[in-house]
Amino acid sequence: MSVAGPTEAAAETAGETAASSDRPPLEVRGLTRKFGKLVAANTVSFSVGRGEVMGFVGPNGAGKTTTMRIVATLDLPDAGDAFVCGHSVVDHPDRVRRQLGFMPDAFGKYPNMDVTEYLDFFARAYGLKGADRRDALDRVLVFTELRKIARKPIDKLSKGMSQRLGLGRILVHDPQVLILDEPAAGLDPRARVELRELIRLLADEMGKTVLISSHILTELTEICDAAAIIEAGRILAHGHVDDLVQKVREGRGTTKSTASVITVRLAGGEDAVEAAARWLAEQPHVSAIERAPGRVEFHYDPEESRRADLLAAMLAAGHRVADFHGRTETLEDAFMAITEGIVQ
Amino acid sequence: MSVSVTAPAARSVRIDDWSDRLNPVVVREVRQALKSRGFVTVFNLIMLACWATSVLGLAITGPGLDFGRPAMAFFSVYFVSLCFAVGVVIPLQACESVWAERRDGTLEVLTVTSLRTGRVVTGKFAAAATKAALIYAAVGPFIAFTAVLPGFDPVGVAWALSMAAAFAATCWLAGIGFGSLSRSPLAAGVLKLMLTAGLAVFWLPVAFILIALADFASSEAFEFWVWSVFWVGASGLVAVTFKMMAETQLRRDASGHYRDLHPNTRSGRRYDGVTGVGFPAEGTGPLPGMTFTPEGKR
Repeated sequence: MSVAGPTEAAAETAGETAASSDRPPLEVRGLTRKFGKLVAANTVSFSVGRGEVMGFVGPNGAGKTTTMRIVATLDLPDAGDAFVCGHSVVDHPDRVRRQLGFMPDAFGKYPNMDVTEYLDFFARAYGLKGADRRDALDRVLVFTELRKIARKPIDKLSKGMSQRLGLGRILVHDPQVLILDEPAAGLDPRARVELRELIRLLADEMGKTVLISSHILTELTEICDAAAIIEAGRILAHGHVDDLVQKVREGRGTTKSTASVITVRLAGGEDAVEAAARWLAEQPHVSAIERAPGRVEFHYDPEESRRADLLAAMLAAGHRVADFHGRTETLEDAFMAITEGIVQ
Repeated sequence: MSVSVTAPAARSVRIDDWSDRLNPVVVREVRQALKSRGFVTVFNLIMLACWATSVLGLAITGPGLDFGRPAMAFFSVYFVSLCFAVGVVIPLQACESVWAERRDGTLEVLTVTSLRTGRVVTGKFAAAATKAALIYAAVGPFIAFTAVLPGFDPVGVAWALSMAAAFAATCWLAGIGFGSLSRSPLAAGVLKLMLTAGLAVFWLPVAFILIALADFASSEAFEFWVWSVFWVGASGLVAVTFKMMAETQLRRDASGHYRDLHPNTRSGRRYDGVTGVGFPAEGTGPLPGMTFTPEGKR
C-alpha cells in the first residue's frame, strides 16, 4: 500500500491520469540489458495498444523473459526504459505494479492453501480491502471458472487449473496490462484452447493489453493481433500479425526464400503425377518439385494472380487437377523466415 | 463471495474486514500454519508433554506437594517445553518459510504486488509471533495451574516468560535472516544445520538460566532489572541486524538491484535498503547508505 500523504497521493493520482491518457498502455523503448558480455536485450522497442494481444516470439535465450522481467519491474535495464500506462518501470515501479499483472513461466504455490485463500492473499497484497476484496475474488473466481474448486488445495490442482489460478492471481487487482510468460507451456490441448479463449476475452471484452510469449506459434497466430519477433536480444520485426505474414509473403525484409508451397493432387495415377511434374519443371518460377503418391508439391510465387494463371495453364495443358492449394503463411512461417537461428 | 444476512455470516464478514488491518503475510502464514502438519504436530506434542508432566508430576509427588516449591518445579518443565517450541521450532519454521519463498519463486510473484520486502519480513516475523502466541496460550493454563501450588512466584514467572519471548523474537528473526541467505539447496541445508546447532547451543542453556534467575526477579534488586533491560536491548539489536540482513537479501534476490547505477535512474534506488548494507556487484556504484526515493523501496 502506498504510504504517501494526502497531497502526495493526490499528485500521484493526477500523475497517473495524465500519464495514462494518450499513450499506449505498454511501451518499450530501447531496452538494453547485459549480463557480463552477454547482451540479453539489445535496444528492444515496441508498443502494445489497448485491447491488443501481442505475441512475443523468439527462440530460447532470445531475450523474451529478460524483457518481460524488466517490464514487470523485476529487473532493471542497463539502458532504455519501459512504460506501463505511461509510468516508467525504472522511475516508478510502484505505480507500474498497480497497472500490471505478471505471470512468470513457473510460479510457486504455497502449501496448505486452497484456491480462495491463495487469491485472497494476493488481493490483500495488492491492497484490496473489505467488500472490494471480496468482490474482486468473486469476479476472478467466476471469470477463471475456478469457483467450483474454490476450496481445493492448490497443490492438488492440475497444470491447466494452476494456470487458471495464475491468471486469476494477476487479474485480482484488475490491471490494465498483462504479461504472460509461456502460459501455455505443458498444457494439454483442451486446457490450451480454454486458456486461449480466456486471453482473447480479456483483450476483446475487458480491453486488457496483453504481452504473451510462447513457443507454440500456431497458438499465438490464433490469439495475437500483433507480434514482435526477437532473436539474440534484438527485435527483428514487429507489427500486426497479418502485416508480418504479408511481409514474409512478399519477401520484403527477409533473407530467406519466401515462395509458397503449392500442392496439386491429380486424378489418373502416377503417370499423371509424372506428366504434371515434367510440365511444371518447364514453367518459370517453379522450383523444388517433389513427387508424392497422387500429388506433386512445388514452390511457386506466392502472389495470388500468378497462382491462378498457373492453375489455368495446367488445366489447359490437359492435366486432370483434382485439388490445387497453397499453404497459408502463418506466424510460424514469418518466424522461420525472419530469424536466423542464432543462439547466444 | 456472496454475503448473506445471517448473523454468523455477518460476524464472519466483520472478522474478515478486521483482518484487513493485518499484514497479508501474517494472514496467509497463520492460515497455512493451522493446516500444516508440522505446526499442528508440535502444538499437540507440547500439549501432550504438559499434560504428562502435570499428571505424572502430581502422581509422583503425591503428599510431598505441600512441601518445598513444587510450583516452580512444574513451571520449569512447562517453561522448557515452551522454550523449545518458540525458540527452536518456530525459528526453524521461519527459516524454511523464507527459503521456500526463494526456492519456489513465490518471492518474485510477491515482489510485483504492492507488498514491499520490509513488509514481507515484518509479516514473517509477525506470523512467527502469532504462532508463538498460540503456543503460549496452549501452555498458559498449565502455568496458571502452578499458581495454586506452593512456592509460586508470579513476578519470577512473568519475568521468565517475558524474557523468553524477547529472546525468542531474536531467534525468529535469526531464522528469517538465515533463510534469506542462499537459494542453493546445499547452502540452505548447511545454513539450517548451523541455525539448528546455534539455537540448541544458545537457546536451551538460556532457558535454564532464565529459570535459575527467575528467583531474583522478586528480590527487587535494581541491578537485576537494569541487566534484564540491557540483555533485552542487546537481543533487540541483534534482532534488528537479522531483520536488515533479511530485507536486504530478499530485496536483492527479488530484483535487479545492487548492480551498477542505471543511467536513467535519477536516484540511488538500487541502494534503497534502509539498512544501506547492499553492495554493488561490480563495484561501480556509489557506496551503500546513499539516499533513496520512497518509490524505490521494494
